[in-house]
Amino acid sequence: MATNVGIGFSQNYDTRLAAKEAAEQAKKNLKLDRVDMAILFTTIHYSPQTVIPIVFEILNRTRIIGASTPSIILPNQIANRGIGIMALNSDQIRFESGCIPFLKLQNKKEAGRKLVKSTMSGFGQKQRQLFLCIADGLLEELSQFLLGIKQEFLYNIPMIMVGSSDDFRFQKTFQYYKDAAMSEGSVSLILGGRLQTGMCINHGFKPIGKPRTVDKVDGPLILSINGKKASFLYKQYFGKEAETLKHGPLSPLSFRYPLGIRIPGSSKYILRNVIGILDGGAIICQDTVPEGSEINIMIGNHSSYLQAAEEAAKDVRAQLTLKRPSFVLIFESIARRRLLGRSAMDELKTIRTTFGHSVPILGMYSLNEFFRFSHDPSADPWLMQNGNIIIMAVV
Amino acid sequence: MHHIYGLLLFVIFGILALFFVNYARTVKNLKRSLLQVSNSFQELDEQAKIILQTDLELNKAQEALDKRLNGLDALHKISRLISTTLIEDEVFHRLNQPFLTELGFEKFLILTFKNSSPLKPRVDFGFPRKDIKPIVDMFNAKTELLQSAKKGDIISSLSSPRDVKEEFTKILSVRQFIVTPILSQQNVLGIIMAGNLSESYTMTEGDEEVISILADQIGHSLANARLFEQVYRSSQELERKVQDRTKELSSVLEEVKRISKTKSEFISAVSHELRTPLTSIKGYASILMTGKVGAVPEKVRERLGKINKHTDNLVQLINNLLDISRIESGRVEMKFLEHDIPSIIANVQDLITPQMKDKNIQFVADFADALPKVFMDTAQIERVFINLISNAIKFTPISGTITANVTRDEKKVTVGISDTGIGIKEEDMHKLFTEFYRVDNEINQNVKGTGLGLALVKKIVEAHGGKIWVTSKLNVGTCFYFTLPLGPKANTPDV
Repeated sequence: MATNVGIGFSQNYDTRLAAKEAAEQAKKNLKLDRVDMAILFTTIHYSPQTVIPIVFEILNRTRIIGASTPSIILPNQIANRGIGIMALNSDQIRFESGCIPFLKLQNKKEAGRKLVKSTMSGFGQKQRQLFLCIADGLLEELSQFLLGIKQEFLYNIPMIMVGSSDDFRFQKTFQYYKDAAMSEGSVSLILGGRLQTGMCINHGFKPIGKPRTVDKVDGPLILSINGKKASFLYKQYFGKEAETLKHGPLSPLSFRYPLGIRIPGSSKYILRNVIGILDGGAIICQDTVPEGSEINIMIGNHSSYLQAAEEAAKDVRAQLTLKRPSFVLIFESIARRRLLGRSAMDELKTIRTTFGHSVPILGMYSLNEFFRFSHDPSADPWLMQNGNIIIMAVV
Repeated sequence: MHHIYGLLLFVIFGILALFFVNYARTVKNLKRSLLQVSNSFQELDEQAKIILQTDLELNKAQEALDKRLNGLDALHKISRLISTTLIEDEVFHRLNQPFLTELGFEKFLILTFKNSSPLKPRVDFGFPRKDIKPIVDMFNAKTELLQSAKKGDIISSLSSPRDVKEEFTKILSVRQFIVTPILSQQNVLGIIMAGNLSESYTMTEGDEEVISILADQIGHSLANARLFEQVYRSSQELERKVQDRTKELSSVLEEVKRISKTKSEFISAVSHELRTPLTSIKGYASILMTGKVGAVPEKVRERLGKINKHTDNLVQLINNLLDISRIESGRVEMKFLEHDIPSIIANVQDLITPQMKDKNIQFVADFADALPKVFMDTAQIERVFINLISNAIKFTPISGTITANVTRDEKKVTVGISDTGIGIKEEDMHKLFTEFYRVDNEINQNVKGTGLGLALVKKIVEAHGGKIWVTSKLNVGTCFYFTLPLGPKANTPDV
């Protein structure tokens, strides 16, 4: 009874060769011919339409899910260019994958339900352990999509959802399913059988300044805070610099000083990057902030971000009762990639040290993350977050 | 009773008044505290404002520093890689690495000139294939750009005029760009274009510096590679020419050998053909001189004597010719035996003493101590000494001196025969050992000779594995040197 993992990676300039090299290396490192599942991440330098069919064929036409990312997290490096694959073979874990295309055009809640049905259709009656979903991170109302998924699962399965990303252009992201690449869709993976999982999300930001209350919202727009135009919050603290928020999510204020939504009855904050300011003074976020929420400007530094990653890794390790994981998946916000800069490798080293240097690791950078801080399903809501690291490990 | 009620009411009112006074004071205090807390909170918020603004500044500086460090790291890697090859294609192959993006740009295009050809793309990434040709064509068409590049001008979205900036952002399909020339000491070797479509990184002057340094590094590597290629090609060309010339010379040498062989064979054949009738002539002349076939008048006897003498000279000439021919063709059978040189010189000295006495010439023998025996054909070496000493006698005036000097080293014995004669002109020296060559001087005009003596001497010495040469000073004297190798035929050719 074992789970085998093979990581493959290539930076070849030729897309076909890169896909071939990465897939063959993953298969070689797996040391087995049967591939039950593969997770694939590619940077924007490679055409997904070329990559996916090659990987699909080399990995014996197995289940594949994946996404585009600005950088790939590997056991010993963070590559700004490349194709990374984790091939899995297990006689104790049951894998099944699903997908839903054209998500933008659909009712999100209904689409969530459809994705679960699509994924579960081939899964059978095995015990469900974990649901992983990668949706197009540029889509709106992903909370509604997740709500549909949760309702279909009757809220009784741990789940992680992240948004695929591009290279900070915020223009087009890709999701991979079997031998096809799509945009504005979502792919999913369910794990079941005899396995133990550990998951944790953390960010390392702390509130600064006075807490304020969100008075009025309209979808992803925050219209007023403490009776004033919402944008006044940033103008008050940053003066003219707040004007840079008009340029969108690339403004340093957006990812360095996100809004923190206090979880009622908890000391935890959900981060929400401001992705723009309207002339009327409304703040644009990627998803709805509930009216009446207590919010703060948030601040952090390299040390607090790294500490958050270390705490998350240790929490996951504790959930696994200190057993050595078969593999670790990391979903980290692209905001953290920018925030950590050259220290990103320190974060990876910390995670490796926590789990052991030989544990296979693969990770991507996401536009948004959906996960709960608490292990208690009723303790905090499932809101879209930014600026987090999610670590997931499977024994 | 009323008094009691009145007193009670007074007390109650008093207590209430005190309570209200106290309450009002408490409320006032609380309000003051609340105001203080509110002020403190406000102050804290103001402090938060300062913290946030300071943090933003620090982060901006940190980000710029990180970017610069990444750029320098990448530059260091690139420099190390491209400076360790001297092959032009390899320089560009090594540049085509993912870490080029670590310089902070997502698009790179490197174009180079070669000889007089237009710009050609050598490294490209981030640019769609279809976009590259129009960009290259644009650069090739813009002669003013080339002129500007020659001056080392950089065009960038940071520092160029608006119209230039707009033109380039459109052509390169980027938001930020740097175009910098690759220069060598004299020429523009090419152009580097680096650009970003994404606005995630803000370009700074530092980026211009990094790309300029990269251009310089590429320029140096390219110049070195091209110089190496030039030297390599020249060396190849030279080698080819040497091979051709060697081939030609070999061919000429073969031809010379063939002609020489033919000549030797001809001389040998002619000499044999001549010697037979000469023997008859000499025989008949001798018979006639004996008077056995009749009385010979004195004048006839005198003429017969001359026939006899000239026949002897002719036989000597033919013998020398035959010897040269035999040595050249390898048909002489040398009899190598161990022998000492002083005894050979002594023998020769005996033979030529009468001639030396005639001219009152002094002969000096100067031998080094412990001269070893030398493997030689004694008869042939004797001929060498006879020829050289006879020549010395011929060209040394009366009462002159001839010295035979013999020295040795580890490998050979060197013999020098010097005289105090008339000397040889510089222009004649190199022809001395040529067959039939006779120096044009008064003595030679009066004394007959064949011009074969020194040629024969040279052949004999070389047949022993030795060398012969001459030094001379006009009106002072001449010295002929020759060497004979030591050891049992170790250096002697197989003759």
